[in-house]
Amino acid sequence: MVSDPDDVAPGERGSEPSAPALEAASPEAPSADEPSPEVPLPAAAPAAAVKKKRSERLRETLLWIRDHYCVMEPRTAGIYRLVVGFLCVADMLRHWSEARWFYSNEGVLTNHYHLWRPSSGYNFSVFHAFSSLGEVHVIFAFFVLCHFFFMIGWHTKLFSILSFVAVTSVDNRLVMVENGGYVVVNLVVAYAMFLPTGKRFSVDAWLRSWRERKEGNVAELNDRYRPDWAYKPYTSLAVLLVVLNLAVVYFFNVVNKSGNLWRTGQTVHYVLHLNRMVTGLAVFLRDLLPYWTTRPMTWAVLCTEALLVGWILSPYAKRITRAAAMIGILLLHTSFGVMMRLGPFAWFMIGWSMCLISPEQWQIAESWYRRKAAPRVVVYDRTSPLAFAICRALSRLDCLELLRFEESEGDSPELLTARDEASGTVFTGLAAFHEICRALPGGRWGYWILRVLTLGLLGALLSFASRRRAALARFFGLAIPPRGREAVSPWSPLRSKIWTGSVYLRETLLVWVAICSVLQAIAENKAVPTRIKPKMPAVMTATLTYPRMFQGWGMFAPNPITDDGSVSIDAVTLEGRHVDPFTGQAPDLDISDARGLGLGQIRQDYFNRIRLDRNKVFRQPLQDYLRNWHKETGRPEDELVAFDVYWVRAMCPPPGQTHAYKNEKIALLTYRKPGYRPPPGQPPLPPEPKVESADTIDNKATPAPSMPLEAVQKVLNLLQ
Amino acid sequence: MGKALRDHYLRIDPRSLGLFRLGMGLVLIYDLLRRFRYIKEFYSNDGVLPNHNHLFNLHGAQVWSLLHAFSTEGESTFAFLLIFVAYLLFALGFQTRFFHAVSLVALVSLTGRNILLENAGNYAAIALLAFTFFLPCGSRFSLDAIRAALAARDEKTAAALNDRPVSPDDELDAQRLPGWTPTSLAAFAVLAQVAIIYLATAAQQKGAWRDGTALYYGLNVERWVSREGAFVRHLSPAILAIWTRLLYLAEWGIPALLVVPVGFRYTRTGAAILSAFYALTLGILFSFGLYAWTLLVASLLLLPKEMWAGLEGVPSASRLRTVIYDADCGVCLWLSRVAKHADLRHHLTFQGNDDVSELLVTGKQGVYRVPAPTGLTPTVVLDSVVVADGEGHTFTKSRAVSEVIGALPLGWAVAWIFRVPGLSSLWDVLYDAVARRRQNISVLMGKEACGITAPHETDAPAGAQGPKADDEVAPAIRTARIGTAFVRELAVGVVFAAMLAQTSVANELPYKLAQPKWLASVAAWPRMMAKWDVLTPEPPKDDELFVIDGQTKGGRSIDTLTGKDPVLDPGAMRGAGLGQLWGDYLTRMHEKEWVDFQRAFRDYLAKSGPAWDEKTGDDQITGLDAYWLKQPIPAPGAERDPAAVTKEKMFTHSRGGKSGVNAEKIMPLVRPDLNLKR
Repeated sequence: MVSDPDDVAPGERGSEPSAPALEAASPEAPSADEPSPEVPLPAAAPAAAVKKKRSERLRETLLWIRDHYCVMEPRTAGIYRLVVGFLCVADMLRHWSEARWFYSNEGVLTNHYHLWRPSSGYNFSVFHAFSSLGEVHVIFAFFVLCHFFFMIGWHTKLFSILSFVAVTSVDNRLVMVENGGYVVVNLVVAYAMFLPTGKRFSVDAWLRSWRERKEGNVAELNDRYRPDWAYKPYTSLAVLLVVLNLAVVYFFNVVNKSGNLWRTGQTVHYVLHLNRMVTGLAVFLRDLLPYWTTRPMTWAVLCTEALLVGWILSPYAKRITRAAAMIGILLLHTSFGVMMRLGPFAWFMIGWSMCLISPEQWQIAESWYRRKAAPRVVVYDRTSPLAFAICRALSRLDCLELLRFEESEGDSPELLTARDEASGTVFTGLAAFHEICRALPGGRWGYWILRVLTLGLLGALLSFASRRRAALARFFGLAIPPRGREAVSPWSPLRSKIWTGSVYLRETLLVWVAICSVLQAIAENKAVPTRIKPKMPAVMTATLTYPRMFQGWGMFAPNPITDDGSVSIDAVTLEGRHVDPFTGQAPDLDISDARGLGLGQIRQDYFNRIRLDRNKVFRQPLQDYLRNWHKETGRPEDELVAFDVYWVRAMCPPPGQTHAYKNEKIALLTYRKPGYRPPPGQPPLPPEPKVESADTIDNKATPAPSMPLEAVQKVLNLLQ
Repeated sequence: MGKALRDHYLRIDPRSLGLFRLGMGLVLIYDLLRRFRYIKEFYSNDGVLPNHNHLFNLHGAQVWSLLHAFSTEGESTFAFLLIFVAYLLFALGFQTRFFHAVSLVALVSLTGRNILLENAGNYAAIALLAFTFFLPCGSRFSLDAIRAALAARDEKTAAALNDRPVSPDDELDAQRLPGWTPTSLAAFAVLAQVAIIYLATAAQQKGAWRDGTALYYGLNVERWVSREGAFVRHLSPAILAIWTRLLYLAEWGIPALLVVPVGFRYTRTGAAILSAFYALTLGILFSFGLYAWTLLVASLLLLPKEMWAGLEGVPSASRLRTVIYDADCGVCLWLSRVAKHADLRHHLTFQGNDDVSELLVTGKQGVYRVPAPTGLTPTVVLDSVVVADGEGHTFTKSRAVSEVIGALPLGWAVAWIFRVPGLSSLWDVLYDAVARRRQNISVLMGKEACGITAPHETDAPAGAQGPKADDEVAPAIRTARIGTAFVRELAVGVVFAAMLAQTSVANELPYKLAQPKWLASVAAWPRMMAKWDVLTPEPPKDDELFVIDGQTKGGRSIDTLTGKDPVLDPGAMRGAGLGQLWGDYLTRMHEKEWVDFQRAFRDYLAKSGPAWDEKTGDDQITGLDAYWLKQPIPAPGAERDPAAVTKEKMFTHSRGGKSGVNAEKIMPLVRPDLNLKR
């Protein structure tokens, strides 16, 4: 496979360049060659001194920024990869489950149609190359594998790039259902490409350490391998960007929420009554919670988001602020995630917050776990290469160095035993394994996971390995000392120079992305005054639009939606049955009594966007899909001879009420099979409704049944 | 006997595979560069077939191309650049298996993006790339092989450099990674594929092939004849008849020679020579795209082990050279090591410059010392690498480099560059510049600049150690190898069966094999359509031509395909072939089967043409007529009859062309419906 430039220890590279972009901007510190008193200063000296001071100050500022914002622990990057990779796998599986409807030519938007009428400029998706359902399954399987390999950190750099291609391709194939969450996914995975995500907790790191260090005896086992590449903090502009962008998300989310519904605390109420978005839990809660409780909840959301900006960016007291930010993000987005179907947004924001783990948090976690865990002595069969190989693996897992290895006195009946040095208790078999696991980071949970994965046969397996240790060692080609040479080769100066060059290239690219993103944030967010909004050059637009790394942040801003709606289809089959092909049930043209529509994010956003006039052009493939619906069901009698696609909407109940009102249906698309007449005995086809715009809602025509406007005004006045 | 038969049918020599990889990589690069010219026309949405139109018109056919995802000319150019990198790395043998797979996907994508351009060449190239994917194409003549050799043996001295133990095949096989053994059903599939291409072609040929006029008629078809072919067609009909018969004989002879189970050395070599003759004839005289060149490199796969045995380690006396390198210079030693591993025939003998009182030379009795030639002095060897030949001549600087390269396999193709008068002085200047800095370069590359720890010459040669315990393959690895080999053989078996069934279905052969749907899909998705129809059943007896009669806003008549005045007489258009891509595309445009694709072509022609880029002002195209012209090719020795041209109007756009204007059917300048839409 493609070789990774990180395959050689940076420790042996001489000095690995750190944040060259920053350093390039700050010239080398002037040496202490101040002019001697004997030498008269030239006339221009004061100006030069001032200039020098300025440049020094600039340099100090840049160094301060570098030290506070541009440094990341490889462990943090590793955790970030694990969480983001897991979420990517889950999200890809979610999209895969909708492969037929939305990503194949059997669905509502064929690839050729989307290529003919792309949703946006600079639109590129690998999915456009896959037409049939079978082909789409292949590409989904491939991308799930890419995400999985990225998650476990195997050929991490390659698979992080492929993961990025995967997430942007999914987004670009069906831009219509894109929301802020998709943009978050694109950004989070994009940043992962520039972070050292494979240096820790990865297969790559494991294999590399296995290759580079071949312990040959007990002393070497106890002398832990701590290579620079796995432990040296990573410095790059990418670290600043990943943290800053997270803060920007919350900043604009707060300032864009300037509407009166936020200020009056009604948002949570309205959001909980958006049946197309809410989960069953939200329906349960909205019935349970009195209205007054939702108001502090609204303000709490706003306050938390505002506080998060400060917590994330705080350069000091990171031990507290970063922890507070992570907890805040976790609570905020978990509540979003369990109550609303927003797609990847909530979960990926939690994943994004993993980049905030600072050394202080690692120290806290370490000392907490150290208190929980107990040191153990691992005694292994000195004659068994299998036991020695297991000990090599344990020494790599034992980050807290709570294990100490000892050879058995002679031939040992046990492969491994564990001893508590304090009490002298000796554990054997499964108990020994349990004790050893408890000393490893996360091992106390890992042990139980292993037991589940082995269907409770862990003890039997260990016993088998112990009995057949010699045969197993032969089978796997194990030996003491291990075979082969340690694969540590020093980097040549040339290779170091190439590496430095690539680092400069990387940082330059990041600077470019940063500039584009800043301008994009200014251009896209409603809170920024129009007069300062820039007109982005095409190359900048292309830079951000191809990967869809936008910067407009304003969920439910400036006000939440107050009207609920969804698409319902009243279709007539060949046998005269009225059916909604999206549900397979009789059409429901009244959503005022709905208690959650149970739609996933992809479907509900598709319905919500297909109603918009700007997406009229995409109703043609929807019509084609419906005309071929009987092919999907496999029943010729299901052929639709007529259908009317409606946007069914209702106003959310006003504060203090629980029933939606003003239900109405607006026809988006109609179809009557040319020349078709119902056979005798069947009712005639319904008349074709008039197709209208469903873009806007006329609130003035029908005021809310209660909660007079004056009362709202009073509340507003009170608040102001 | 059993082992010999196994080696004959189930094994292709790694050196043949390595050479094939190199050749195939170059052919793929040539093919890509050929297409590069036409990215806009054939691979972008500004061309004859936008991606959405292609996908729409495929109507669910089993065609796949990654290039469908690329819409604009810029996006397609980017994709082409990526493909170029993949082809180049495949040719060089860097991460060979990975880039072999990528190259295969790229070729399938290039073929599937515009299926109106495909022909037997695409099918052959894809099939051979697919079958050789399962074979160790990177184990010789590749960067991977050199890297592995350098890692396996760390030569530090001239003695180590001159020590070249040859490991027996069995030993090499035992140490290969899972799935890398050259003994495989894939080898049989490759040989069978080559045989089938020739056999199926020959079996379908009749008429002109039997009476010896096939080459004559083939060379008179303007859309595919090359410039060289246009020259050759003037040869005497008798010569062309002999040539035709030789080609026909080759088509039958190659499969026969591949099947014969005896005299392997001669049968295989004979088949390779015949195949090369056949391929070179078609490649030079016709524009069949990938077809001829793929068959040419396929000939390399037929080179038998016995032929290689007569080459590897068997030097030619006239090309023996002794290289005296700077023993204290790390980069010099490294370059010597690289040269050693590239030196297939062992032409080079290495000697450090620390002792030049005598000269080391290689002979039948091994490496021995002879008196140093007069030009070899301690001063000379301090300033430059010195190369000495068997006749006592010494060469320095760029000429020495040229001698070393010339001693390597195919080195003559490059070595002459260093000897061009005038240019050689420039190379000397460059050499001096590098030589002066060699110590610095050594340091930069992490090599030792001086004082390389050199074991005494009489010591056992470093790196000469045999297999160690470390090299033993663990049973777990063996088990994995068996598992992967099983999967590999199964995959090869399925693809081979698909190829056989597809061949029998796609060609007019006496026997048809059953082709279940799933097997048809295995062949269809990667476009292994196995339609071996080059010059079958006989070359057409008519010369056919697609002509655009367009008119510009300024009133000029223009054929946008040629950029010249429309000429409605094939006889007058001789030598104006547009190449294989346009040739195949325009021919298909004329066929009813492809009528769905005409609309996009018409839209394209309304804006531009290969020789008429989107013009504005008076040069803007305002109407055109498309004609398919046909003229019988005269019998050998006869003259063309200009009156025998038949003209079929295929379509009209807007006002039509000037020469086709019919007073009663003049079309408006702008179509009213178009106007309304705007």
